[in-house]
Amino acid sequence: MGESSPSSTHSCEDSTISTSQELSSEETEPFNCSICLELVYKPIVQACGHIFCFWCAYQAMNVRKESHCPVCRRPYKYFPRVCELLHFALSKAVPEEYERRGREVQRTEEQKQVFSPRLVESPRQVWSPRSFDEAAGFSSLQSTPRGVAALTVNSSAGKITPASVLCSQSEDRFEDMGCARRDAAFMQKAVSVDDFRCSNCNDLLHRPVVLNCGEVFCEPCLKDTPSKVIYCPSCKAPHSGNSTFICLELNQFLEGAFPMEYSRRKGQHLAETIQPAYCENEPLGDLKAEKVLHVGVGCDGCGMYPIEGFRYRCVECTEKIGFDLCGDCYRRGGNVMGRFNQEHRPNHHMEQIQQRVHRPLDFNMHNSSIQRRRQQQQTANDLDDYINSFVE
Amino acid sequence: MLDVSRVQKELMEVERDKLSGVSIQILGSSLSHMQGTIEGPSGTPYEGGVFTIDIQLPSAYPFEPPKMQFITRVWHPNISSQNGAICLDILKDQWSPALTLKTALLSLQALLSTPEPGDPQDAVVAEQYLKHYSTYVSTARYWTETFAKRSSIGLQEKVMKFVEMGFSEDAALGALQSTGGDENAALEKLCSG
Ligand SMILES: [Zn+2]
Ligand SMILES: [Zn+2]
Ligand SMILES: [Zn+2]
Ligand SMILES: [Zn+2]
Ligand SMILES: [Zn+2]
Ligand SMILES: [Zn+2]
Repeated sequence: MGESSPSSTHSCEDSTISTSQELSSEETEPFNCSICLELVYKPIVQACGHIFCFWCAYQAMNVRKESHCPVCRRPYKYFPRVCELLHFALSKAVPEEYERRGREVQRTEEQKQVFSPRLVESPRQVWSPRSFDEAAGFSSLQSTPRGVAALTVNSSAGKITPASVLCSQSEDRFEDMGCARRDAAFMQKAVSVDDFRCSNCNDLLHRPVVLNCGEVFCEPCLKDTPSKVIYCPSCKAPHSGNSTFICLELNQFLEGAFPMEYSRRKGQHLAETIQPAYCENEPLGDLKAEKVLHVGVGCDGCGMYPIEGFRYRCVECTEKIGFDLCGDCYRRGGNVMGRFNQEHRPNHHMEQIQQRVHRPLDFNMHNSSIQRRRQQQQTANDLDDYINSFVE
Repeated sequence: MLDVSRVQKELMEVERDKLSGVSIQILGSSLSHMQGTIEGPSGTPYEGGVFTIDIQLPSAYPFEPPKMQFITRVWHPNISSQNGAICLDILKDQWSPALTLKTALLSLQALLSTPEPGDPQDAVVAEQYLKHYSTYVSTARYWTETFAKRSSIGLQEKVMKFVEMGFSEDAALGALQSTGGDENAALEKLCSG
């Protein structure tokens, strides 16, 4: 994942030609990841509102500095948690395709021995009205049997274009080569309002914003954030960046799936003028003299990646990915769940990790970039081994 | 390990969208080496030409950019007239995993229509572009005529011609692909071993 070194034949400066190009993906299927070009699995919604798979988002991050969204290039510093609402909604809307993606991802995880978080449906969804009905034996019109959505996924399969001769894989491989198209209308029928409730007002989401913790709120529900930093109203985790962007893809889906309810919600919020929450300072705006940069290591608490400043590593967690916290999250304490599959407990012993890379944050220092480069090169070799184990 | 599934999806998308004027061919059995072609944009000195680009995929693709280099010789400030090396930000630090081989090839096509002489790959061409623009245009057009014009017969027919001359089909195809379909250069290559 490191920066590629320019080859010797290149005489031009690295980054002056700018191709002001839209990075939007070719695919128009709903909830496609624009990195793997497949249905998103364990969706991560970045602060800009773009959706990627857990592993695609993880691998797309810059190990040494702030990362940029692969689609819109907005910068971000946190690796968000999986958006569980979207995860469970997709597993209902396109059960077969989603399960197939799950099997694929699991195979890769077993090969590499690093694992994404195991997700269990939260109690909130369990006591929702629809589930209550179902438990009582009333199946509502909204809930569709699993087979129905699957039917559409397969319906247009079988049309094999010449290039698919390239696919030397098994038969069910052909479907995921894009021969079968995901149908938004059918996905919408397999889910209900209960699958898309705001973590704050518990009503149908309107202009959904996914925070760094993976929870989803109506944009107007986040408007009253008192401080400059946006904190999640329910779990208090800090959000990446100083403004919120709605998840357009989810918004579009909701509008199509629940036109009546959606316009009712729209009317409710119309009284208040909708403005994006905005503040002047970055949450991590403390750009004092020098901070330690822990290349390729993220905080399991807030998701900061890479960790800047203090870093603590659990000495008892045995998972390959390890368990790390930034200084703030370590001081805050409490029961922090890992961003992967770690079975970390609050009583685990944690150790402060010695400084490895100093990154002077003085932008005017002339030789700082040279120094930085030299230091990065020194650590590059052992880091690359570490990083490659995830990237490959 | 190369994300084979993603690369296959990309190739199918290119296959599906014939109108883009972009095509990609696989070389060899792995998906790590291929060849792309783009059409010269109309209204430019590259109009009417078909340009072949060598594409190598690093194992970390799409998290690292593909390596691209012109095989067809081209007279352009941002492309080396010697070895076809390309100066384009998205093939370097501005690469994003949301970009594809197709979008990269389309960017090369865009680069052909909008040279950036201020950030040259080929200093000689860039200087000519800035100081003697009309000479640049005629040189670029001449190079297009000479190196980038495909003769009317297709690749398969060219291969058959070589087979009739006694070369194996694989060797003929390989030689033609590595020379961007230039029969004379391919013959030279076949004869030199
Ligand atoms: Zn993905
Ligand atoms: Zn984005
Ligand atoms: Zn709300
Ligand atoms: Zn939260
Ligand atoms: Zn933290
Ligand atoms: Zn632990």
